[in-house]
Amino acid sequence: MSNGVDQDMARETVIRTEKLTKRFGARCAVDNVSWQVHAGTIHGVIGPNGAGKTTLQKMLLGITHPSSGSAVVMGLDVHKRSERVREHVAFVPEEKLLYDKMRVAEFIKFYGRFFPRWNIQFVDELLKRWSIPQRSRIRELSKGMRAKLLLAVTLGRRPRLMLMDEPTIDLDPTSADEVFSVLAQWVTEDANAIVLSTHRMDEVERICDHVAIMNDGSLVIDGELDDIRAGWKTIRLVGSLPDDAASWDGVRRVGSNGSVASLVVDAGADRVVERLRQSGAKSIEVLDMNLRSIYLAAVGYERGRLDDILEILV
Amino acid sequence: MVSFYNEPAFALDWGGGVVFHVRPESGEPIYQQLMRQIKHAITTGALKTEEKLPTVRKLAADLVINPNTVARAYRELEREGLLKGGPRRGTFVRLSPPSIMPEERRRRLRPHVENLIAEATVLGFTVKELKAMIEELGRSGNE
Repeated sequence: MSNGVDQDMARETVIRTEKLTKRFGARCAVDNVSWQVHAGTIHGVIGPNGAGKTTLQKMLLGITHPSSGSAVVMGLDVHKRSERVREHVAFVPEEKLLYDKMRVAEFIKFYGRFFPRWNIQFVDELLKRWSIPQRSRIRELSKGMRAKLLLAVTLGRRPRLMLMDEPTIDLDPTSADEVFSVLAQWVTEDANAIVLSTHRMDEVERICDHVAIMNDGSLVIDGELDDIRAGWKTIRLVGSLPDDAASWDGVRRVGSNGSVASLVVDAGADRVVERLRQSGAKSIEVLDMNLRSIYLAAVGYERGRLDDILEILV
Repeated sequence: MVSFYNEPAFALDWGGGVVFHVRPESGEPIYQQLMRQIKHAITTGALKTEEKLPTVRKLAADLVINPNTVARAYRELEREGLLKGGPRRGTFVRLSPPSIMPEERRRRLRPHVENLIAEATVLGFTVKELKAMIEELGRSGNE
């Protein structure tokens, strides 16, 4: 908590939820989520299908009302002032339905009329950079070009916050790179923010500075990606583990296979290694974990995906 | 533009022959990967004192990574005294490693050596054997 206060002083809080909860009958889609997003950051939200990512996004946009708790976006209570919030917040892909018969140039002119802060120079520049011909009809564009056009007009609205759902699903790898370069610059140089909901761990690892892992409606991990990666380690050793190892500080998982044992820790790997040495363990190795392994250790295990767990531990 | 999907790791040559690689899926924080490579470039002389590094914006765009990550790598290296600079002037190599205070250099290296000795002992090497291995590998590394 004290950590959050320091950040508040340095950076504007773009999203702040307090105990945000949404129940659908007996099912809790979003469960007591207290979460903050600051200007100038890109947050990746990952989690299995049905973890609550979409419901969370909908509540942030004021489309779905919470059962309890609150959400403040750009300093505005979402559920009292959702119209004002939507001036500053864009959801991509909000409009998959583009006007097929229009030419690109007509479309961007038409589209801009709905948005008071519209910046057509920026849109022109992006379309040029992404080689999207303004004279083409929209139906003549490839899937990837449409996705880029949609993103260009969304940026043209000059939102401060973009909520994105699988933004690169229609993009080839080169296009995805081009889009992410623009987005990363847009966020960090103009103090905007992006919340990116995706299954693409590689994209999160490359482009996001924060990550939130959701499972069964709760935030199970939330923080700076580099801090998370610095804390989570797999420790492997030859020999058997002390009986109480599973209850040591920071230890999340333990397992063994023949003469090799492993632990997953979320912090304090050095201390755990020291204790293992004292208990006579040999050939101790500390291994970095990528986001996929961290995700599986935090989420997959509870779902009983044994193969995934063996992949991490052995 | 180089795509990050084509290969698990790719290299970026930003002039002067210095090459950076990023492997986001390796689990090592990307800012640490960059720090390690910049340190390596300085110790091998590929980056010289007063040499200018690419801007945060350029390096982030070229590697398709978050600019905050590049900024953090530069910031940490500034804190360690290896780089200097600011947002306007750009970032420069400040010192070659030998000019860091000798005690400070010892202090930083010590935990790595302690770890190495512990591992070697567990695996049944004598300190003499370890020394021989270091000399052997050190020679090939300096070539």
